[in-house]
Formats: sequence, C-alpha cells, structure tokens
Amino acid sequence: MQPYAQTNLQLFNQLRRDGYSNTDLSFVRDAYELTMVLYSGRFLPSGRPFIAHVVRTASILASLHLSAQVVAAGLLHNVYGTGDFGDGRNGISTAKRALISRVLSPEVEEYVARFPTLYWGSPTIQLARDDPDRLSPLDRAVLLILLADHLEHLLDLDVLYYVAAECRYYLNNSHTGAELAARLGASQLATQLNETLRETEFAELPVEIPAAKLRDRSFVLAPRSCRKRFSVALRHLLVHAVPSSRMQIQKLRLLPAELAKAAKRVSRPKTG
Amino acid sequence: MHSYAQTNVQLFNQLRSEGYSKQDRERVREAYVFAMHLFTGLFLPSGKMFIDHLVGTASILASLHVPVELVAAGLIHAAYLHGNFGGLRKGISETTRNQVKLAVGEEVEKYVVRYELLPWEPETLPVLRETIDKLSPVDRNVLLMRLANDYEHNLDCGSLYRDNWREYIQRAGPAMVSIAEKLGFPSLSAEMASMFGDIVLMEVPLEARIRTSEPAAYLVVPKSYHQRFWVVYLPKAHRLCPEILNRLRRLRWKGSKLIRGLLRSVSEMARVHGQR
Repeated sequence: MQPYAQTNLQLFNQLRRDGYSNTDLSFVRDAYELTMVLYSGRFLPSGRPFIAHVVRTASILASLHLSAQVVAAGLLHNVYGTGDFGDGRNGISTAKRALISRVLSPEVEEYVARFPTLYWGSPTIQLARDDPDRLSPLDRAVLLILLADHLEHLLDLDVLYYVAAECRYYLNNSHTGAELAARLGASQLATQLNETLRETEFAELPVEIPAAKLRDRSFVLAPRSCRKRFSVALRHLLVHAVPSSRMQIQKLRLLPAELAKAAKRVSRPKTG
Repeated sequence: MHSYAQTNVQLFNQLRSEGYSKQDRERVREAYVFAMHLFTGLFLPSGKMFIDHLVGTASILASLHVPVELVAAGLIHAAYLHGNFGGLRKGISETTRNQVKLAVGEEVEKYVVRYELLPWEPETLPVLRETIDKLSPVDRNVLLMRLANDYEHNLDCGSLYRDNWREYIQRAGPAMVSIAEKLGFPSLSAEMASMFGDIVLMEVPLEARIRTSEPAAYLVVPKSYHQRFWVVYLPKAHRLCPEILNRLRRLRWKGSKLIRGLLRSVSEMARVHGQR
C-alpha cells in the first residue's frame, strides 16, 4: 500500500511529520473543511469517495515539500468542474472564485482557476517539455498539481474501474506525465508514475464489474433523507430541455425544405 | 502509516492478497455499494468520512482472516445507529432489517443487528470478558467486530478528536486488550495495547471539530440538496408534542379548579340566599 494519505487525519499527521508549521496545518484544515462541503456525497467511478482522491493528491504534493498553499490547492484542484456550490452550474464563475479567495487565499484560488486550463496538449505543457525554465512559478505549481492528480488516479488500480476510453486516456498520458515530472525536477514523482503505470497496465481488477456499470465520470450520491433543491432541479430540467427543444425547432425549420425536396423527387419524370 | 485500507479499492486489493475468493470479494463489493447509499455525506467529529471508518473496520477484520460475512458486516456495522434509510427514525425496525437483509443477506444482517444490541460500556466489558467461553460463535464474532470498530477509531489519532475518548480508553482499554487475547487474536491484542498506551499520552494535533455539536457522526448535506421537510420538522414536532400536552393538562387543571371554585361560590350564594 502506498504511503500517501487517504484521509484528512493521515494528511494532517503527514504534514506534521514533514515539518509543516501549525499555521500551515490550520490553513490546510480550512481547505479540507471547504472540500467537505463542496464534495460531500461525490464518488469517483470506482466508488471511492472524491474526498479521498483530493486528499491523496494533496498528500502527493506535500511529499514533494511544496508550500501549504499548493497543498491546499491540491485539495480543491477540480472544484470548478465537480464541486457542488449549490447553484446547479458547472464551471468557473465570479461568485465561486470569490468564495475560494475569501475562505482560503487569492493565491490558492489562482492555482485552482488555472488547473482546468491545463490539458495534455496545452501550450503550457508544450513549454514545460521544451524549456521548463521558462515556466512561471504559477504554471510550475499547477503542472505539479496536474501530475499529482494523474498519479493519484493510477494508484490502487483506480483507473481500471473507469470506462475503457477514460482508462486508456490516463494510461496513454502517463509517459508524458513521467517525462514532465522529470523535467520539472520531481524525479520521485516521475519514478512513481512509471512504476504505477507498469503495475496498472498488466493488472486485473480484483472484483468483477459489468461493463454496463462502468462509469466515465464522478457522480453524486445524495443521502436518502435529502432531495434536490427546487431551483437546482428546475435549472437542470431547463438545461436539458433547451437543447432538445432547439433540435426540434431546427428540425421544424428544415421540414419545408425537406418536403419540397421530396415533392421534387416524386414529380421528377423518370428517365430512360 | 498503518497498513489498513481506508478506501474500497484498497480493501478489494487487500482481500485479493489475503486470499479471499472472487465470490467473497464480490460479496464485499455489494456490501460496499449498500454502505455508500447508507452513509454518503456522513462524517466523524474528526472530519474523517464515515465510510472510510467502515472500510478501515472491514480491513482490520480481513487482516485477521475472518469469514467474508464478517468482513461484509464490518462494512455496514453502524447501519442501525447512523445509517440513513431515508426514514424518520433510526435504529432497528422491521423495514430497515428487511432492507439490510435484501442488500447483504440474512447471515450478514444477523451480525449487524447483534452488534447494535451488544451492551458495550466500560462497565460491561469485564463481564463480557469473563463470559467469552459461554458465548456462541456468532456473538464471539460480533465481539471481534466491536473491537475492530474501536481500534479503527483510534487509528491516525482519530479518537483524540472525540469527547471523553481518552477516559473511555483508560477505562475500557485493558478489558478490550484481554478480550482480543481471549478471542484468539494475540496480534490484534498486542497492536491495541500498544496503540492505547500511546494514545492516552497524546495531544490533539489540530482542532478539527468541524462546525458541529454532534458527538458521534454528522451529515454534511450536498449544497444542491436539502433535508426533506418531514425529516427536519417531524422530529421537532415530536419533541414539542409532550410540551404542548403538558401545557394543555396544566390549563385543564387550572380551568377545572376555576370552575370548581365558581360552582362552590354559586352554591354558597344560593345557600345564603335560601337561608334569607
């Protein structure tokens, strides 16, 4: 079993052991409290609590002796994509940014806001591969968060519980991740990425999950005594209803042209 | 860091390396899926997820190579105490028992219900220790599950965040250690003795009680959701009912006293008037 933390208690103990100050610990605890609220009830496709994922991402970052701000950002790294802010919307917004800045700090918020802009083909990644010295400290930190997140998904064979395409995505990008980690000077991370990739590629799942039950993304399991807020439910309904009604309208618009075409085909005299 | 699993994927990997069969692992996976539904959003006072505690308990049991039914029971051991069945009342009822039986089978449910009914206080532990030999195999397993639960609460100093836990360990710890020994698990007994010895001397590393006054476990409702109306207000109404009844009773008593007084004075006046 890897020595990374899976719970907040293990993370706090690790930070204390690694020499983080009490102020740092309190800061990370505040980030964890926010995580509890924003990720409550969310699970990864493997059924692992999402909070366990972000805690271990933070733990990997702490093992690289990065600042408490980066560790806290690790706890909230994909909050704009999957965090539940109670407004029923995904993605970044001014209100969400203000909340993170207020509760933690503008620096952490900047890391968290930058995270979704990074993808494996992004210019920042290209720059990191070509000339890592030209990276800004912000980009460097966010890249390390991305690599920690990637390693975290690979540990304990977690990606094998995802749908095949998603699993392949993680496995295919691991070599690039390891190369990037090495270029950023995080050789421990690079080694672990390579080792974990080797283990995962040839491993079999310890339990059998029917292909139909495999998921490609995280999901929320609400407590049975709770129900969705009316405003959120209405919003979701509209969001799903509008595209389908748009398609219907589009079809109706095209209908006269289609009819005319069909009429032409029928009225065209047969040749030969 | 200890080697016990804290997540389902770690537990499944552990079960495979401990030699549990594929069918056994499947059974544990089913119990975990049920646990996800019952304990989602639930946290311990330390901020640790309740489901992590359940997995940890099951992992401790698996490390002792107990039957798979017991490992599965470890995953839902607190179903009747903290499980969210969506109803108003917690605890054992016909409906909740049927739900558990349907999800994990009767054999596992038997452990869970006995776990809930087991008298487990520092005062009762010496009695349990002395009567271990007379207990049925099922009750001995339930006792082991209880020990695994308490041991798991102590991992990573988790118990330090709970009220009065230090006193509890001081009072109950020695008995728990000897119960583990008498049940035939000397390694668990030694681990517990060492941990309890350390934990009573430790200080809370960080105040992590998170905006709650709940002593045992509490729900953090996802922000897009809210508790159902009747789940919030009916218990309040239930609490208010006796108070309202008391007031009504007092009012009736006062009213009847007033009427009696009035009647008495009327009859007195009538008597005086008659004499005249």
